Amino acid sequence: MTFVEIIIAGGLAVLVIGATLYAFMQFRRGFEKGESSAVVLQEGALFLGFLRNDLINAVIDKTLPPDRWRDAVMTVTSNQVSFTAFHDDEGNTEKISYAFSPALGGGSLTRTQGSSRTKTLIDKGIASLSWSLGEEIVPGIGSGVRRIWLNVDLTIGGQGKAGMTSKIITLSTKLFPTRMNRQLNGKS
Amino acid sequence: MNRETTLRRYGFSLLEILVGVGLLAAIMTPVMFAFGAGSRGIQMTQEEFVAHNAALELLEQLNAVPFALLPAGKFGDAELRDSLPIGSKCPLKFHISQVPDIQRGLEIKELKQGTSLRFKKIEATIVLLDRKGKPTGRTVVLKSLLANETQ
Repeated sequence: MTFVEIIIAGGLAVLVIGATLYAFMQFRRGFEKGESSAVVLQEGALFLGFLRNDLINAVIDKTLPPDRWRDAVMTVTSNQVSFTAFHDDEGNTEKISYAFSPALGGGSLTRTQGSSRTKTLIDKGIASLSWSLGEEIVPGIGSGVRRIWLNVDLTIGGQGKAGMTSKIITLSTKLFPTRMNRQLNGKS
Repeated sequence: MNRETTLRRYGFSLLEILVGVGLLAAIMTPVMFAFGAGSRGIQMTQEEFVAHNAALELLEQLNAVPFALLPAGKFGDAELRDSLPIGSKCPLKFHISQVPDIQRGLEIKELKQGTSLRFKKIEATIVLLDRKGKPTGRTVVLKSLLANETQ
């Protein structure tokens, strides 16, 4: 073997190994991105699923007087949404709260049912979350026709768990609590 | 002479190495495509999740409209925009989130038993669009039945 042959063989080996390593690293990065994207999508779906189901079961808090119907429907602050919902066959209700804890590395979201049961629905994966109560009142029978809903704007992924960068997923939706709307319009 | 022949027999020629690298590339290409399919799968799941939410948003807000005020008819994407009226005789408005790359459709049918109006059937259709705004062929359809509780 001549020196030139060794140099050419070495160069080729470096090229082949370099290309293989590069392809492997790209593959690994892409796989991790896909995996963490699936995780944040699943967490986002879990959150909206829980919230939608809770809002279906949500009822107006009858301990408050009728002139405070907005407070009786739902309490919405920048970090928390809370309302009452049916929780057993006997028609008893309990408070359900969704709390958002913003953080630089990605915010988290928890759901608390009653006074003790707390479950983390999104763990350090929220880039931004805003929610607000929407209402519409039009003239009609009695006090008019009323509809309320919860606006949710959620951006998940893109940051969060160390070393895991997922796709950014944006979800904007409005959730209409059917039973509450029926109650507001005079049906139980 | 003999030594040179022996050395050549045990080495690889450039052509052999190139054929080997080519074969490796040919084997790796389907593996890369398989990975790409996985990524596309996640993307499609995300798009369908967003479309499903858009359909639920449409259905839930119509379920919250009093039965008598819900108009029958077909609504196209241009009529299903935020703050547009639900119908000429309905004082309530649509409340719709801005979602890119989808096209909404809605049909409300009256279902009668004899002469009495018993139900209103609501069908929300979301067509997924590509980046050029053309239908991808994927559609989410959700249906709901609103009962007339005054009868």
